[in-house]
Amino acid sequence: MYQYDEFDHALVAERTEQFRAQVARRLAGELTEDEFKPLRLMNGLYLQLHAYMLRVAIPYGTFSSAQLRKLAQIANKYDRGYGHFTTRQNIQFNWPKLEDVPDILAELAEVEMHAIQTSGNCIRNVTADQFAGVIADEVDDSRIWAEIVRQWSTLHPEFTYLPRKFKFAFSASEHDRAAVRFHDIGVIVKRNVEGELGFEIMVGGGLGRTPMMAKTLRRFLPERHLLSYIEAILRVYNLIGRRDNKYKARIKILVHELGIDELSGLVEAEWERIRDSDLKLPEEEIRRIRQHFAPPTYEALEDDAPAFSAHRFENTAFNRWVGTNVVTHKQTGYAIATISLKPVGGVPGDVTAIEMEVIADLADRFSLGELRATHEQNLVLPHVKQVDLFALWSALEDIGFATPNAGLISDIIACPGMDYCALATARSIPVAQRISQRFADLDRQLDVGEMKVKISGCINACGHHHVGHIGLLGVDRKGEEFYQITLGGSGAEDAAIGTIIGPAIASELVVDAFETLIGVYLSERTEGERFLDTYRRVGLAPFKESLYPGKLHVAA
Amino acid sequence: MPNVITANDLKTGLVVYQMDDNRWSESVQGAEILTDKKTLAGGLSRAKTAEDKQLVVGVYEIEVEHTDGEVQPTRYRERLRAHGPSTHPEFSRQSDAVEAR
Repeated sequence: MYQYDEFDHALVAERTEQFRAQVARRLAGELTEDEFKPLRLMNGLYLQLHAYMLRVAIPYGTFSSAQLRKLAQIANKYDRGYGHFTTRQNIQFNWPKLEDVPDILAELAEVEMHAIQTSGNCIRNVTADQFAGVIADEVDDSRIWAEIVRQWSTLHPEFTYLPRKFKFAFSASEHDRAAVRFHDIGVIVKRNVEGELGFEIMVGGGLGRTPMMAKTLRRFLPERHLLSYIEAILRVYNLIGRRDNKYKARIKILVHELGIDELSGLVEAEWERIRDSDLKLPEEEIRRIRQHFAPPTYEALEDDAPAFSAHRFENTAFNRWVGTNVVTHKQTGYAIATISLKPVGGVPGDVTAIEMEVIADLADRFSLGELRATHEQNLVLPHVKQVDLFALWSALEDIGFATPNAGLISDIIACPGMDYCALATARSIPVAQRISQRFADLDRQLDVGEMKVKISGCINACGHHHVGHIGLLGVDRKGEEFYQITLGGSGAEDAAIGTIIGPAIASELVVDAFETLIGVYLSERTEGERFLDTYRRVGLAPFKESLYPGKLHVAA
Repeated sequence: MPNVITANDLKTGLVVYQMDDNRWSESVQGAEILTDKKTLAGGLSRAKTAEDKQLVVGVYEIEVEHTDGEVQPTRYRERLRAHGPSTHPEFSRQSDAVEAR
């Protein structure tokens, strides 16, 4: 894992003390809310529906058991005993008191964590494939490059007041687990035909009220040019991105309005000026960062050792969990285990302090003290010996986090929605809970197969509904909660923006609507087809005909 | 429809409602009920003063109704603010005694 150097330590400590002074001035009445708001947002502090909310960054989703224990302590000491993992590899605390936030930040700094740039119009927490460094199909560990961008972007003086927020995501595999095509800049680490390492740079993706897929700005950028090239993109955006209308201020609108070719011309011209400047990455610096992500020392183990295979054979529930939640590790004899934070009827992404403590202990026992947070609001233990999987699974069973549903219909992304969020127009979490209860039967979930359900409580789309195989958008219809359904979206390598199927559906009928849609899929599918494949083959019509034959109450 | 005035407490961020003695209650049951335009304008003016004094943040009025002897906001957004997240009923403060600050 990356370890802070003296610059990182000094920077985070300095920022904490700055914010302590700002909070003191606010509490003393020397700063108005209008003056304080941009300052608190730069430190990840929102004022939500019920209370303040603090968003803590987990860069590229990698963190340690010690860090998770600290998060548990903070949840207990300053909050209401739980935290919420988000779709951007952050964790949110929903109930901090303003006067406590500087102390929380100081405690986070003790374990090399912070809330810098988790909000505001700046470059946000850099995200990456949660399996980076351990998955066999990757070209390189994308976290090396995400960390380089994190360092470059942290408090970058030129990019503190961008037209709007700016999000990076990294992947190094043909399977996109980081939704890179829906970020302001999506980076795919790849090798060219000569075998040299570099990047495909995609720009202008995003969700929100104007969902767009990123377009490729450069097919192959040699590794040493990463920072100079993205600095050129940010400079062009910072200069000509719209500031007159916040809904048109993201770079996706610039890409849309200028066209990718014209934007490319502007970026290339800027890049020519700076490509051989100090931003050119020295090889020794790349090597230094790479060392932080060097693989741990693994034991020489064989795949599918008898003890592991015997447990799979003897215990159906364990075998099922291995089938859904365990992925092949690049090191033989090891495995990557997803801890589903989606128990039946649970709140997606919520973890209590007690559960955090248990999971931290499990990370120490079974995963060399390392964890990952996923954009799908789950956790991952990246270095588990296959022979330890049964003990891990048993321990997860005890805390209710052994649900074998990774990638299935109950593995739902849901934004906090109107249960917490000041922007929301409807709730998200209770709908996710009801869907997971209705489809609790594991045999049925497995039969339905891969299914990405994503729920947003407003048009800002934090719940990624545009890219759900089935997406739900909560809307307010004359003071009642209704849900607009989209089909056919995907945030993965087969990326697509979903299509709205028809008028929004009343809250109490949404789960029945799910049944209907799943029923259509099951009757239409051919051998081996996922829901998404069937939808793409047969189109919207059969789903629409079944959903709106007049039997469902729909909004006018 | 009668109104009450709500905001978030500066220090805790918690939802609060203006009382008739200029204090703020964490329960909507303790709120001052404003029944006409004139009392609403007066209430808002006092609330703005509290905001200027940096006691509360984001002052605005909401509509309420009386159901079963209890004050209830009419809009579901405000019912969620009054009762806390629907997924955490244990955090609701509305059944507690009115806690003034």
